[in-house]
Amino acid sequence: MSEVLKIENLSYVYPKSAKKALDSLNFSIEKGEIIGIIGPNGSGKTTLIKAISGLVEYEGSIKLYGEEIKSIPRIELAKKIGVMAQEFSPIYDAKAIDIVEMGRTPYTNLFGDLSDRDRKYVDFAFKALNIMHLRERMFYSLSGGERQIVYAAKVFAQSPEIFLLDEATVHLDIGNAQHLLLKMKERASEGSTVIATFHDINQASAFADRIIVMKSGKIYSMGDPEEVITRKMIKEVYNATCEIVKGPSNVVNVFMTLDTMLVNQ
Amino acid sequence: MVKFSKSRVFFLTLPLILIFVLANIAIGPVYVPLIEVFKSLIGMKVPYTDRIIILQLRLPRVLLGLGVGAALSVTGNAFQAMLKNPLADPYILGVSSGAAFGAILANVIAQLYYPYFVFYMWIFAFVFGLLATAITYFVSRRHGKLPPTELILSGVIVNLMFGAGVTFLIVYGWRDVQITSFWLLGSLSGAGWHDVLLVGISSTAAVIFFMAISKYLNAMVAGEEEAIYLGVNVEMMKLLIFVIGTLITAIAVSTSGIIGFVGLIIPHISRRLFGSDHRISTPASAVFGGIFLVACDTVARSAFTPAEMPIGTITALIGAPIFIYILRRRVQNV
Repeated sequence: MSEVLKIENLSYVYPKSAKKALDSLNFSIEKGEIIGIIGPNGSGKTTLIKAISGLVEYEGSIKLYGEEIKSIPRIELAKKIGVMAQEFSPIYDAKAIDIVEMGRTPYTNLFGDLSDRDRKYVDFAFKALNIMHLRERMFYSLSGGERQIVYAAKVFAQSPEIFLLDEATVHLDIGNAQHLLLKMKERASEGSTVIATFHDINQASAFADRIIVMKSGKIYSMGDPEEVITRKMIKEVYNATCEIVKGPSNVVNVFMTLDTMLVNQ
Repeated sequence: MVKFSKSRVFFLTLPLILIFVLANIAIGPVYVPLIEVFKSLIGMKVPYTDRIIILQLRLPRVLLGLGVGAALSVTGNAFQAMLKNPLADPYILGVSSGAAFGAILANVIAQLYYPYFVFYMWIFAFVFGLLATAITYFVSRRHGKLPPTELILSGVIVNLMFGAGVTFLIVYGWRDVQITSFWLLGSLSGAGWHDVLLVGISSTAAVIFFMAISKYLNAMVAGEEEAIYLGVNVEMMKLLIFVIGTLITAIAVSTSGIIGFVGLIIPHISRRLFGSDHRISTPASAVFGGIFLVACDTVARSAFTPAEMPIGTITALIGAPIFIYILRRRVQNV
């Protein structure tokens, strides 16, 4: 496998703040890998996604295929990296097809006209996510889950090599979350690289090849889900008590306990 | 069933311009028969008084109306996308009142001290329009966003401030308060061919510019971060839209005073009719903005003869209820 991203001594300090949101991170990601990033609120997950997507002025180095992200023109970066956030809320209502076509912005001519090739990518996105029936529906007439899937189709139409998902499943029910994550796995099996942040440790465990655990802007641990997700990690990173059980396909599952006897142990 | 695309339907509305232009030229304190208007415009011989009324009084006025209406509407349409705020327009943001203040300042300096300053009128309007926009923008900005309520409040303050400045300058410069209504409520009555040329060129250039950045405006309606993810150089785009929007507003205001609400309501109507894609909503805003202002001007100068109602009064009477309607609706459903 070839190295897609290489991150060295990555740090970031928010303006007017002394605290480092990201503190000397080092790791690399191979092509086709699925990375799950977990950690408590404020641990730096979203900032890391923003840094990789070139949204914040970081210190250190983030290299995409050996080229520093900062030096890649914005339009070229958009062809390589697609970002999906928690929610997508355009100011005006529009048809789902218009939203998905927006994903072709980096490729269209000055006046935004779609070529046949662009239309093929848009069709592919609708088919890949099984939402052909939503094409002509107005975005704000859709349910929250349907909107998020249409948003995912927009990012699919962008045809990036790397998908960055920032808690993209947080507002989704289990069915929609499963649908989206399975589709992302399909993209990864076809060569795309996926980096996704999660609040739900079990989703991250089921989805990712490798987990990065963040705490206070630093990497606490990194590795296979079964190595990384432990009672000790949950206690030290989240300050929570839990039971850990291996589920189907050897996926590690975390069960939060509210039994005060266990919590105080 | 034949299915018309939105762009085809839009092209079918273009003859409306001709109808409203002809009606505007015909109707007024002195009625000129439509046939005389038509003959005059295609170069045929008509009675001398009709020719003077048509070609020297009403034609420049109607063309100025088309240009000013288009300029204010396309600017409003772009500001709303850029600021992700459906209430943004040159009037609400205070650009128009800042520009009016600048234009009058140049006039007062020309009147009292250096007559050649009158040629710098639109440059002064541009600079003070930019200043007003900057004040509104920075006063209303909260955590990198522009909440609608804060934007309106800041715009009200900036409008009051520069509006007071306009009145002060006029009374100071001319010892006469009558002229204030031209500037604060707008009028196309001073239209000359040089105004038509200036506004015509700037409005056409602005429409082309805003159409050329349609795909970026489309990306910006989902917020700055989403636009960046789609490859848009957002900071550069914001700067260009602010500067060009303020420049064409300044030129429009220096020829016709402050005409409110056009840049707010016309983009909403255009989007309702043709959808939110800026590739259509921009030219649609230009066309309907022009038609709207021409229609308002027809009413303003003919409904209350011999007096002429300031055109801004008519646009406000129509625009204010629509403003309230938009304000009451949830932002994303607008």
